[in-house]
Amino acid sequence: MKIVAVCGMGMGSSLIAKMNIDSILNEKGIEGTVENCDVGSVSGHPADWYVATQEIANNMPEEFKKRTIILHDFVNKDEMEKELSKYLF
Amino acid sequence: MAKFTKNDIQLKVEASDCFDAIQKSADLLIASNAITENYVKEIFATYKKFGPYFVIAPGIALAHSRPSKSVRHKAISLITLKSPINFGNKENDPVFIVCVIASTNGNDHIALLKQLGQFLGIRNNIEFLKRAEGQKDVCKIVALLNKKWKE
Repeated sequence: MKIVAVCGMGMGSSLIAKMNIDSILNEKGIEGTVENCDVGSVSGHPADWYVATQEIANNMPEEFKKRTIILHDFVNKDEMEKELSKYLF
Repeated sequence: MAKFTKNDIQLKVEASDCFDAIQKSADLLIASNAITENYVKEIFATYKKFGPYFVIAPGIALAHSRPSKSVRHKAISLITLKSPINFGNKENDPVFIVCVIASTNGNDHIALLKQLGQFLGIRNNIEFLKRAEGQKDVCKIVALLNKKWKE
């Protein structure tokens, strides 16, 4: 499974999200790779799932929107796990 | 190892709106010579382009722009606001923690950001930030930010 965390610049929130998703997958023993990038270059990052905040999700390429999980919290792992579990595990 | 210092933190700051709040957080990095005033303009431009997406959790804003010549060295500031302010992010307003992130190349800030992310991911730390004030609490926050968390 490949997941890409997306934000406006690809160096702030998406990086924190990537670190947390890495750690969640690790704790649950799920194999997967997590990358992060900015919304402008997301089409060069094919993935099974994308993770973004609402504003960024609105700017995602149309064909990725169905595979985009919207998270309102990028720092609290429990909140993220709860939301991700609806889609991923 | 990258470390936070007490100059990166300020508590119970008064700000008139979200731009003022970002400016006041950025002022700490201007004072430590990490960024120039122009970086703040770049952050505002980013805000105008993408909206308040950088309010990444309830009450928490991580403001930044791209690496540019306005960044002299990597740094992250953190301020808490005396009165929470709306940034226009329906889910996560009002904001009371405003961080500014600066990176010279998109990578050199990662160690600091990881420390920040782990610190902010712990609910007790957020509760502590809500009531923290004075130099003693600044020192405590710096210690928590620099703590080595288990992987």
